[in-house]
Amino acid sequence: MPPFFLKLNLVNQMSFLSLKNISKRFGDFVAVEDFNLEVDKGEFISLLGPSGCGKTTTLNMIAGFEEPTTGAIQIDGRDMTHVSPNARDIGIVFQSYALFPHMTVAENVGFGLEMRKVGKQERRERVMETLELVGLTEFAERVPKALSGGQRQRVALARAIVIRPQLLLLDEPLSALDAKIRESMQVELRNIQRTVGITTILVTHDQAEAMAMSDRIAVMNMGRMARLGEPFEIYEKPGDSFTSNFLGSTNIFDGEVQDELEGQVLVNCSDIGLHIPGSAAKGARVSVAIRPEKVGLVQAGKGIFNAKVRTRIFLGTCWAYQVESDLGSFNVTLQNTGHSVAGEGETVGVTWHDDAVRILAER
Amino acid sequence: MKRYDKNGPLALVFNFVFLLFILAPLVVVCLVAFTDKGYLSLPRDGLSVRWFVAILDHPEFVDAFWYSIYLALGSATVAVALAIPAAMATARYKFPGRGLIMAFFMSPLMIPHVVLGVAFLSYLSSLGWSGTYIGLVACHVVLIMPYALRLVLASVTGMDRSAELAAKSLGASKWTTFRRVTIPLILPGVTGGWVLAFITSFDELTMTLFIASPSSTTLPVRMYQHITETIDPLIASVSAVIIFITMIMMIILDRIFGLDKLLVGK
Ligand SMILES: Nc1ncnc2c1ncn2[C@@H]1O[C@H](COP(=O)(O)OP(=O)(O)OP(=O)(O)O)[C@@H](O)[C@H]1O
Ligand SMILES: [Mg+2]
Repeated sequence: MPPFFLKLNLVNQMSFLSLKNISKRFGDFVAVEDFNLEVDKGEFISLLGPSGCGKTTTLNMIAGFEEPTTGAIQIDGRDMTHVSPNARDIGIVFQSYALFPHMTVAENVGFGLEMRKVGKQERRERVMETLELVGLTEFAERVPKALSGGQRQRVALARAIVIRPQLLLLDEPLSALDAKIRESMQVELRNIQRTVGITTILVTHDQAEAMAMSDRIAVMNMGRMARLGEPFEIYEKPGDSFTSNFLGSTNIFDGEVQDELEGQVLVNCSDIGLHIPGSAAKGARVSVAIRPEKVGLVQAGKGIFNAKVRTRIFLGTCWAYQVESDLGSFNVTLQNTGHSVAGEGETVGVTWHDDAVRILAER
Repeated sequence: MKRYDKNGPLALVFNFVFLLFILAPLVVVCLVAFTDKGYLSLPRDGLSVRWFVAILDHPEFVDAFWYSIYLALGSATVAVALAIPAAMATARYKFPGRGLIMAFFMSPLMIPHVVLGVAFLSYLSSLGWSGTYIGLVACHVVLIMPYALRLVLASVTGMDRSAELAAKSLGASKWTTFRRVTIPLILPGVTGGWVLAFITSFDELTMTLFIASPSSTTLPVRMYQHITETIDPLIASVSAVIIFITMIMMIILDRIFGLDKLLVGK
């Protein structure tokens, strides 16, 4: 038998939540397929994907509202696949908040504690403590109807975390709020999550929200995991065109591999030769991607190739260009530095660092 | 958004005439109840409450009134108790025969009450339940079920289910979720269904005429029997009392729930 500390070590290495090959079918329709995810304790993970890609379905399976058609769900080493939702000890914030309209804020937040048979005195204390955490102490006796959207959202959050669940699930909790409040709620939510140290899974279709809040992002497409990784990593190395496009605007060109050097390939895109880090077989047709903000515009003739400015839009912090070249038309975003830039109709040179260009996998 | 609360003059006239058409009989009945004559007539020569006092001389009316109340209470309660699980099952689960069950519960709306009366009469006597309270409740439940079910179903269908899921995730069992979350959320529909069922049961004459016995006479049956013998203003005064009680009930319900909410089932 291994000594005690070794066993402890073993437990620590195991992930806290693990989804093993789960899939969900509704009749013939496959909503989630072959989904694998390992989440560490205290981690903040986002499920990011377009509408209908199976995010809510995945969350519902973790919560126990839906049973996976195949696969297993483990929380803290325990198999939870067939455990009913009221025995899972998971806090959930629904997209619609799902507050109990016939109860006051304090009763809403206290509901989970009541179900756990926490005494009245302690219940009151913990409810007020949590309301303080979300900044709603003076609203304790109001009913949800008399609250603003942002306040309701915070009540829903308080109700979910007051029970100190082992896992917190958030289904697009901020999507009903307007842009300004949403941003401040993102920061607030992240702070609360750090304070409480709770393992959290956030569902969202907003890539900026996912990147701002998560330790790691799982990008989903049509029921499958497309990419998993830290925000910076998957933004910079999306791997495929779906992930690249979903995480941010992307210019994609078709090309053919002409030569392969060590760690670099020479790709011919419409007779313009591009050196790109990576590897690919000679003669292969590939997609080449570069993000608009990594492109620079210089004097005509001084760039890699020349292009003509078709449209130029001022957005405050930056300029959005659409330029026309042999590669086709593509987008360029330039930081607004206060100096004047090339205008519409002008011919400019296009530059970029070789390592800003990516080769995407065909899908 | 366009607002529709401004009526043109023609619409106003129409509404007025329509209301008058509905309310006039009620007003006439109430007026006749105050006559001082021994026959049905408007109180031209002076008001009198003699026909209200006369009700007290007819204990069979008072007994019939209370019997109707108990019958309506029992039937409406049983009907709603059956309507809740029926509505939840049909609104939430897809199973074979779902449409059939709904059609079955709604069918009393489409069968003439006379036919129901005859059918129930022979049915009750073969069960040995003729003229018993249980027998009458059973028949009334069938009759008022569509009214109860319609409103309960509307509120169950319109309910946000995520509140139930939230309760479950917070540790509530199925029963606790039902009691603490589902019931309060569908309460307006349940109350509306109950009220409608109560009124329908209280008001029912045609079918009850067949199945009532001397020991189980409801108020409408009692009144019907009375006017087959004599036509005096007693009927009018009894009607006036019923109208008055109904009005009080409606006002109370409106204060608590809002009538439009209750009877539209939202
Ligand atoms: N109970 C169900 N029966 C049949 N199909 C379903 C059911 N629930 C979900 N689906 C389907 O599964 C797919 C995934 O649904 P899901 O709700 O998980 O999407 P989502 O990623 O959460 O989308 P959104 O961002 O719009 O909320 C959808 O195409 C949906 O129509
Ligand atoms: Mg969803």
